[in-house]
Amino acid sequence: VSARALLLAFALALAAAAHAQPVSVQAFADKTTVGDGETLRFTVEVSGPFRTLDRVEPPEVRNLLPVRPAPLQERHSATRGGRTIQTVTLLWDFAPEGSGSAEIGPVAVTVDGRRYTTDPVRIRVVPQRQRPTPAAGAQPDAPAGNGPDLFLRAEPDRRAAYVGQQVVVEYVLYFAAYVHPRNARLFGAWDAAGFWREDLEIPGAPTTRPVMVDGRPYEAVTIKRSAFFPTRAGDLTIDSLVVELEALQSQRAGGVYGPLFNPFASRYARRRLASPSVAVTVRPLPDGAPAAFSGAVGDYTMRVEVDRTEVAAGDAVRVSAIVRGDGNLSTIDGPPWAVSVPLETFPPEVTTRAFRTERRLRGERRFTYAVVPGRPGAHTLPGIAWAYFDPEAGAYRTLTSEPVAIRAVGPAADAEEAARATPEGLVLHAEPGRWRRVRAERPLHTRPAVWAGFALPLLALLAFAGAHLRRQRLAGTPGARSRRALARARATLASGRGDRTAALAALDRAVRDFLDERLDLPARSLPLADLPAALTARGVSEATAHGLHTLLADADAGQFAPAARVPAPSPEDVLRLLADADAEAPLPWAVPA
Amino acid sequence: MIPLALALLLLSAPPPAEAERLFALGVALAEEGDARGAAAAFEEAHRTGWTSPALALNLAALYLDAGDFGRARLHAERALRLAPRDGEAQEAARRTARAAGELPGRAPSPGGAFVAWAGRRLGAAGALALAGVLWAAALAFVGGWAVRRSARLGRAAIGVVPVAVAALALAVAVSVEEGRPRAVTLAETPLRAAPDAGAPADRMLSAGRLVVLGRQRGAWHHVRPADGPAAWADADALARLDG
Repeated sequence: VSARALLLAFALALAAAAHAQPVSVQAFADKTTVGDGETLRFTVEVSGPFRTLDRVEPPEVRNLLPVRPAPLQERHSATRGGRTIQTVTLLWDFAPEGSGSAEIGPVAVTVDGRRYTTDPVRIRVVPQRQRPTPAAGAQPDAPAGNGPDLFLRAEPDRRAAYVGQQVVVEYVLYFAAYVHPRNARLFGAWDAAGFWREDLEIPGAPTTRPVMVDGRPYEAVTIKRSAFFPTRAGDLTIDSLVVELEALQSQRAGGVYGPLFNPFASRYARRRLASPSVAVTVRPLPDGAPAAFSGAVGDYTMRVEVDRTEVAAGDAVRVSAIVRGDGNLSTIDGPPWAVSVPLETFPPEVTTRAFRTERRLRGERRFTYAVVPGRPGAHTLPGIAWAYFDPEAGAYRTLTSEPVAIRAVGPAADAEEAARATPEGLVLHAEPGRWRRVRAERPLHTRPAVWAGFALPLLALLAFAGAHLRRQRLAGTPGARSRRALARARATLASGRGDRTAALAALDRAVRDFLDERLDLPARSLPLADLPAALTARGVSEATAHGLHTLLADADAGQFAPAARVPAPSPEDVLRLLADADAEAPLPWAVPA
Repeated sequence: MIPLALALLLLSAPPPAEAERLFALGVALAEEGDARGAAAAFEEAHRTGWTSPALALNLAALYLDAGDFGRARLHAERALRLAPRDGEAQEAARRTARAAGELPGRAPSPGGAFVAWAGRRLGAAGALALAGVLWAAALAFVGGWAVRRSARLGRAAIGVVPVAVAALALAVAVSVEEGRPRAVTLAETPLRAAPDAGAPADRMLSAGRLVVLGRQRGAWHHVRPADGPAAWADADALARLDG
C-alpha cells in the first residue's frame, strides 16, 4: 500500500468522523461549593454541526439569585473535515441567597428540532468565612494592591524574541462584577531598560469581556497596550506597570441584595495595582546579513513610486521607496541606493506614518529621493534593494524593485551649471567686506518710523487743505475785507513812490479804494465836501474824518493845481490814518439810522 | 546736542577689531588646510556680535565641505539674509538646500508667487521706498487738484492713488513675509503632533531644512517646512537665521 493511499484513507476516516460527530450539550458550574459572599457561574455549552438552536430558557434555581437578567452568550465556529462545527456557550452568574444547599435545575435545549435536557447541578452554600481566600489572580508575583476581586496582569504575546523584534504587552485589568473600577490612571514612572517602547492605542471605549480565572468569573478589560523592541540581546525585563484607580468596596456578607438594604456599605476607594514585570529572553540576530540589511526586523513589504518618467534636464524626479509592515518603523534606515553620472541624487527625505490602533505596531516609512538628470536623453534608475530580518522564519529577506526608465528633455546643462550642481566648491572669501551687527531686526512694517514716513505727507496735505478751506471760508468776512483793504492801500501807496504827482495820485486812489472797500462808501462819486459827514455816519471819529478829508483835498490840489506846491504826505501817515478809520468803524459796519 | 554727538560717535564706531582678527585667522587656517580650525575662528568672529555676508559664506562653504548640511544651510541663508541680491549668496543657499535634500515645495498661489518675486527683486525696504514715492506723488496730485481744481491734476490723482495703495499693500506683504522668523534644522529631528516627546512623530525632518517658526511652548517650536504641514519640533534642533 502506497503512502498516498494511506493518507487518503486517513483523510476519509477523519471526514467520516466529522460527519458522524453528534451534537453535544453540556451543563456545569464553575464550583459546587460556594461561599455566601461569592458568585458562581453556570455554563451550558452546545457543540456540533448543527444549524439551528432555539432560544434557551434560564434554569429553575433554588436558594440562588441571578446576577444578570439574561445570560452572556459566546459563539465560535470551526471547520473540520469540510463541515462547520459550531459551539455556543451560555453563561449565567448566580449569587447564593443564604447558606445551605442550592440547586440549578435542568436546562432544555432544542437543536435542529431535537430536544436535549441537561442534568440538574447541586450546590453547597457555606458561610464566606469557611471559604479559602483565592490566590491573587493566580499571579505568582502579584504585588500589593492586587486582590481576589481586582488585579492587573501583563500579557506579553511572546517571552522570547530577536533583537529588534516586536513584543506586544497587553495590560489587562480583571475585576469581579461588583467592583466597578473607574478613573484608572498610570502611576509613577515606567521603565523598560534595553527596549524601545511605542505605545499603541486601544480604539473605541474600553469594553469588558467575561472570563474565567481559576474557576471564578471576572470581567476583563485591556487598559494599555504597548509594543517593545529589544535593542540588545540577553535577559531583559519590562518593569511592572502601576495603575491607580477607584473601585467599589463592596460588603458581600448581606448577599446580592446587601447593598440595597445597607447602601452605605458600598463606597469607592482608591486602589493601586501593579502588574507583574515581564521577562523577555532576547536572542541576537544570526550572522549572514545581506549588504542591503540595515537593522530592520519584522514583516515588511516595499513598493517604489516614481512621480514622472519625463523631466527637463536639471529638474528633479522624485523616487519614493515605501516600506510598509510590522516593526519598529521609527528606527529603520532607507535603502542604500546610488545612481551614476549623469544622474545625481541627494539624501532622502523621510516621512513615517504609524498605525497604532491595531494589535501590533504597523506603519509605513517613505524614503523620497530627488534624482536630477544632468543631461537630456534616456536614463535608467537602478532598482532599489532593501533587506530585513524575518523573525518568524528566522531568516533575512531582501526586497527589490525593478529599474525604471526615465527621459530627460531640454538643452544640456553647460559646464558651469554642471559644476554648480555639485554641492562642493563654494569659494572662501579673504576679505570680510562690510561688517554688520548681529541682531534680530524688526520687520519694517512693525516700525513706527516707517508708518510715520507715510503719515507725514498725508498730514501735511490735510493741514494744507484745511488751511486752504479756512482761507476760502474767511475770504468774504468783514475782517478779511478789512485786512484786504488795508493791504491793497499799502500796495497802492507803494506804487506811487518817487514822483510827487504820482505819489499824490496813488494817495488819492488808495484812500478812495479803502473807503470803498472797507466802509462801503462810494468815495469816487461822493463830493469831497460830503465825505466827513459820510465817514462819521459810519462810526469814524470826526478827527479821523477830517484828516482823511484833508488828505484827499491836498491830493486833489497837488494833482490839479501844481502851483499850490502841496507836499506829498508820507505813506506811513496815510496808512496810520486809514488804520484809525478801520479801527473806529465797527465790524460789521452798519449805517446808523 | 550731547545725544546727537553720542549718536554720531556710535555711527562712526571703529570696525570690530576682534571680528576682523578672527576673520583673518580663519582665512589663514583655511589656507593651511585646517578647515575645522577655520570654522571655529569664523564662528568666534560671529559670536563677537558682528557678521558679514563673506563671513557667513565662508562658514557655509566650510560646513558644506565637511558634510554638515545643517550648519552649511544655516550660514548660507544668513548670508542671503544679509545680502538678498548677492548672486553668490543666492547660489550658496541653492546649493546647500539641495545638499540638505530639500525638495521643491508646493507651488504658491499666484498672489504668493508675486509677493515672493517682489521680495526677491526689491526687498521689503525697496518695496516700501517705492510705495513711499508713489504715496507722496499721489498726495501731491490730490493736493494740487484740491487747490487748483485742475482736471488734469484730478485725472492724475485718480490714476496714481490706487497704484500707491496697491504698492503699499504689496510692501507690507513683502515685509511680513520677509519678517517671518525662520530657522534651520541642525540635525535630523522628528516632527510631532504635539509639543511633547511622547507625541507621535509622523515625519522626520533632515538636517538643513528651512522652516518658518511659529509659536513656542517650552522647549518646542511650532514649525512649518516648505513642503509639508506644520508640526512641533524640538527647539534645540533649530537655529534661527537672525541669531
